[in-house]
Amino acid sequence: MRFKQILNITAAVLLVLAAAGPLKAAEKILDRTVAFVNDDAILLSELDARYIQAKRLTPDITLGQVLQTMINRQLLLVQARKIFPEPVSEDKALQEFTDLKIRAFVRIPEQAARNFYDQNKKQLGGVPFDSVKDQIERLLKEKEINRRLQAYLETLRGNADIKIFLENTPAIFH
Amino acid sequence: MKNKKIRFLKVLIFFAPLFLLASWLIPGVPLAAVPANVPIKKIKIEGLYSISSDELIYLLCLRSSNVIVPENLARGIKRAFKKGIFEYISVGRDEDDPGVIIVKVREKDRIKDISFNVKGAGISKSFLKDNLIFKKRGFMRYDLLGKAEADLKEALSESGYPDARVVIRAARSSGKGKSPYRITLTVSVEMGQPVLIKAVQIVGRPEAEAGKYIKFAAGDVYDQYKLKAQINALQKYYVGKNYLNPSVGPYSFSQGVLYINVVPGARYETFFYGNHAIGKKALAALMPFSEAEAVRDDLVEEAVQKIKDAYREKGHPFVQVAPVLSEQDGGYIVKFHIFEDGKITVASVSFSGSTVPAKTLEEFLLLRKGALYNPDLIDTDRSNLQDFYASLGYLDASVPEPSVTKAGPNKMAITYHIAEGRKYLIGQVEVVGGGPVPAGLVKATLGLRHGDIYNEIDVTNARYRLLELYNGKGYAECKIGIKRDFSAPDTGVKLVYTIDPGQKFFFGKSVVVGNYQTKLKVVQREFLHKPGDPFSQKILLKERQKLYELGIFRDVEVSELPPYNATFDTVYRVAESKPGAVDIGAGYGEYEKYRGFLGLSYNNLFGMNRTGAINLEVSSIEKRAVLSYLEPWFLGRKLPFRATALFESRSQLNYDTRQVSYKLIRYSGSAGVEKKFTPNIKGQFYYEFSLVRTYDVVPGVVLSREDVGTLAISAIRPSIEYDTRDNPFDPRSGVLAGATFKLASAAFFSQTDFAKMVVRAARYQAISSRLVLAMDARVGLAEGLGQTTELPIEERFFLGGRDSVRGYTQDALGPKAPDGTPVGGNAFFVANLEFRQALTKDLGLVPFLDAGNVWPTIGQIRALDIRFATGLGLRYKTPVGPLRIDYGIKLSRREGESRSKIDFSIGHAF
Repeated sequence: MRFKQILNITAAVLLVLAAAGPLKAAEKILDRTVAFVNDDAILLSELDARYIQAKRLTPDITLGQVLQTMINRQLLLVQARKIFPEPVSEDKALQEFTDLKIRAFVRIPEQAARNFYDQNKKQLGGVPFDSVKDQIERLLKEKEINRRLQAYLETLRGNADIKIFLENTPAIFH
Repeated sequence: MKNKKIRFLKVLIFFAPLFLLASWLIPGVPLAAVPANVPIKKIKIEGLYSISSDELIYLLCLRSSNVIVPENLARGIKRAFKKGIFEYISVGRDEDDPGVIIVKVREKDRIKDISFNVKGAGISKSFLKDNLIFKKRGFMRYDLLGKAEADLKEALSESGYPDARVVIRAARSSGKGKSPYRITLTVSVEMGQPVLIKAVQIVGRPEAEAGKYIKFAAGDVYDQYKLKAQINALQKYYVGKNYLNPSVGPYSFSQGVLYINVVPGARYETFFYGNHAIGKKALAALMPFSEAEAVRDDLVEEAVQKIKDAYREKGHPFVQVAPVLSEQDGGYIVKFHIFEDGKITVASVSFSGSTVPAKTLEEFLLLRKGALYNPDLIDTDRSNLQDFYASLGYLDASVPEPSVTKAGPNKMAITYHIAEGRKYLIGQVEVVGGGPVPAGLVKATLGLRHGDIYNEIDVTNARYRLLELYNGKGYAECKIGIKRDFSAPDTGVKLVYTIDPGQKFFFGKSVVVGNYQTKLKVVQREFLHKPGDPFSQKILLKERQKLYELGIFRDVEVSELPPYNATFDTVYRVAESKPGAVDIGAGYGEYEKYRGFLGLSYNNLFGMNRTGAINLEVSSIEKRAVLSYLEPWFLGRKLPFRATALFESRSQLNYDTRQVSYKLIRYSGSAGVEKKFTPNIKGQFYYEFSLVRTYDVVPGVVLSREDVGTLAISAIRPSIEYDTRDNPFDPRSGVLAGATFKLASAAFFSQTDFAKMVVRAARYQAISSRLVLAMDARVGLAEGLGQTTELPIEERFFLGGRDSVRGYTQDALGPKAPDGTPVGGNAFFVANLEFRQALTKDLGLVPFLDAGNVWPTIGQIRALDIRFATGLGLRYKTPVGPLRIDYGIKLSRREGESRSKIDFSIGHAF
């Protein structure tokens, strides 16, 4: 009798829990925020599209990396829009902004190119400095632009309110 | 049967955990496919606190019975984020009932309050507040908590407390007013021991000199903020004393001793000889040495040039300046010998080769007849003439250097030789590609006609007018080009305006940001557009202006989000002002003696821009309390409704003897609406009810039964006002005219019946940049109706004093009781004339003439009985209007009257 009572109660509790369980989970997310940068939201649907795009070019790229790129882009875009408002496209605004804010200030002194040449003479196959000077300068310039862009982004990130909500992202993204 | 039941339960117990696991461990993964095109049946919102569900649904663009479009939903979430209060939004569909949409939000935490617990003395709360990166009512940034502590610690260290400990804790608000997303910050500071200064050593200069600014002494806390401020002050002192490169600091602190290096560097002195037209102080201010931190020959030459320029501006074009530079005791002495020559003026200006009258041309010149002659201005005058000719269509006009000849002692004659060239007229005006805007409207907007004078400014302005027309119709990207064809000048310049309207844009949804106290409706009802209207920047600017005018926002920014489907969503970012204000003051008046007032007002009651105010006034003869309420939108329309309740207890005194003429207690209430018919015309309609008890009345003051006892006055008061003044506090131009009518009648349950009317007209006219002519005239007429023969005393007209006829005592004109107390009358006239002359930016002088009088009845008005007064006033500008002192002299003085009177007040007399 006692066993039966316990069995009944346990069955009833489990039934209630089983019934309640699916109710709680039975919500299909249509879209949601995965991050915000100040008052701009980055959505799951946007991340999804970017991730699929990025995966084609870089198969081992992670979802987190794509999201970080999107955050950086948003930070730069806000700054770019202050100088290049609509109707300039996002890409053009970003390009012109980096040209104006960073590229324009980068100068590679000849000595720096010479030092690079001296350090990498072997790899360069012993070609004369003058024939590779322009290429070295271009390379160093891009490196320097990248460095300054990273530093600029660090500053922007330091001043921005950023939060990421990647938890519970459907498994397809991992 | 029993066994079957047990078996079923056993199976259930076995499978239930599996079912649980499947449903709980994989949240968010649908158990079954949900159809995407199910219309919305119901919207459930979770976690929302700071805005209404309606606003969130509007921003998300979720409409009942609509199907969710993914792009629109994404745009909606992004739009909602622009509110700046959210950190997470998700929108999902109920698996079991796909018509139910579940919106989950999480808002950013906001700082409700910041409390400071300080152990140890030596620092103010405001210092901690200023150096804390978190502010009350701001959003909480938990990622910056560590930085905030470090920054505050650093600031305390700089102010002399290097051992200070700072801990900042955030706690969810609790208690009665508990609300989610609101936190309280507690900043705990343990100050520790301060670093004390044992001695101060000034290195390099006598301590007495530096000590005027460096005020640290043994025993003081080593506060580097104070020290830096004092060092800056000392540095400025040396610069002011003509030291070229003073160096105060660096400073060091070692074993309690503060060392400050002070090296003022070389000093220069300037001397000016022979200067009469420009003072030494003004010339010294021109010297470039302090800025260049050096005295060199080239800088001396620059100084000479600056002196010459200054003299040329003063009409001394032939001034000579000889500098002498010498060194003495490590410093410099620069002497300037100035030979001013005479002050030269322009004797005449003439023109040759011009068909335009010389007088017209001279109006465009700086160097006109009688002006100080300054050759530096000739090029500006030539350019002005050239522009003027171009505006007349003489595009090829040439204005060469004029000939300047001596025309007597210290006088010059200027002659311009002008070659006008051909006059160009507008020929054919063609419009290409006007798009959907009717051609007639485009042409009318252009406003250019065949045969008009060709003027580049008109041609360009016509383009701007067209752009404004197209932009106002939603063509935000409209491009307009102008082609000018000068090839056939005889038939005129052909103008071709090419219009590319581009895409038509529309208004989308509006996001209001920053309205934490103010209801969304208050902002939205000021909008001049509806979603779907053609997009126009001009409308946005007008809306911004309207929001500013509400008086509840200190800043308003309006912008648009990137367009989608030819639609612009707009963002209104407002910063709310503090809605409460306290006015408190005290004063002394000749009549009232001591007086004081207290005013409390709040202009955003219930977040609806409603104003409530209470004003209390107390003086030796009066107590007054006024409670007022203003609803700017009455019955859902922009119709300001005002209600006032008043209590007043007053003793009316005889001005000369200070005997009480009568005492009065009044309870009064009024309510009514105001309507702006045009920007300049305003109408009002009020109902007033007063219960007035008059007692202790001197027999002679009593004119009617209504003058003693308690009387109920119930009246309506319509009025109209026309106001074109440029500034109501200190007008320079415009007209103020109006009429007020008051009718008290038994029909409104009034115990007295009367009608009274006041009409006024004032005009303000600037005669020059420093002189304003102000005129004002007011007439008042009243008549008792029915049984009422005389108006009650508080409804009669009184005149005389600071705002009517100056030179007379307050309210002293007109009929008087046997003891000399004014009893007022049923008719008055007053006129004022002022010449408001500005002496300096803030100070002004006002000669005035006033006239007026009060008569017992309308039938007793006598023009010859008008009393006149004149006088002089001083004005000093303040933010609330000019501070006023008027000295009035009676022109029609009668026996026993004083000759004059001085009045003090704030604001113009009219």
